[in-house]
Amino acid sequence: MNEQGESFGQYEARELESREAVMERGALARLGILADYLREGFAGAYKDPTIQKFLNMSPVIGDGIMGVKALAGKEGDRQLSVRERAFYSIAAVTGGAAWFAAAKGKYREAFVLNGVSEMFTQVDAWPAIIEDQAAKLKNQDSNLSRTLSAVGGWMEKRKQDLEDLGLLGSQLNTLNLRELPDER
Amino acid sequence: MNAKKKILEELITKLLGHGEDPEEFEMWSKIFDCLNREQQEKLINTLQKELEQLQAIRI
Repeated sequence: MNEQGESFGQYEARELESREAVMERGALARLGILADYLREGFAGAYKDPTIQKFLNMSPVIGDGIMGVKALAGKEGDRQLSVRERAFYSIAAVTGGAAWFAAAKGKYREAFVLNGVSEMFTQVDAWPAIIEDQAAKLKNQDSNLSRTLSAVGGWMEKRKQDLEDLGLLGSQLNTLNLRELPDER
Repeated sequence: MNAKKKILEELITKLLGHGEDPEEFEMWSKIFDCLNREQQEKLINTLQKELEQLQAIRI
């Protein structure tokens, strides 16, 4: 027993929980930095109102994904970590912006939310779409191009998580996405 | 390698030793030079804070 009356096992469990909490706070702070960078980068590179509309939604995308997962009951047996939420949010913002860039002109601004549903059914294609946009931006904005390649590479390594995200597509189609706030 | 990038790499090495995600940190290492000065400083400050907190935990 220590001074707090804990056994070594209890002490160890508390300390490990603290470590995870510290790392989760760090992951969340880093997510904010990357999301801001991507928003600025995409906003500067693409004047397409559909992409702008999507990027304005990005602060709520992570919460939206978690809400859909909860509704689907997919993650009902456990709480997703902040680290997982950070990955899902970055993947969705990057993949989504690249999706709308690739689909330029297909979706009019008023129908961007319909496009969100469609893009979530094809998340397996996101790394390739992101890489394609990175190649197109190479001369226009080399920093954004390199960043997209790096984020796309990270997503490629976490294909299983992306596949989980892809299962959301059918769930999203059943929700009224127009009720989600769309302004920062 | 500039001074800030060197600090970043040192922080990443130490944080990986505390169990941080190597794939995520590989990404940060790749994009660091693409961030503006303010974002770079914010990232370094965030990592320094995390390292200090992890070092304060004894296990």
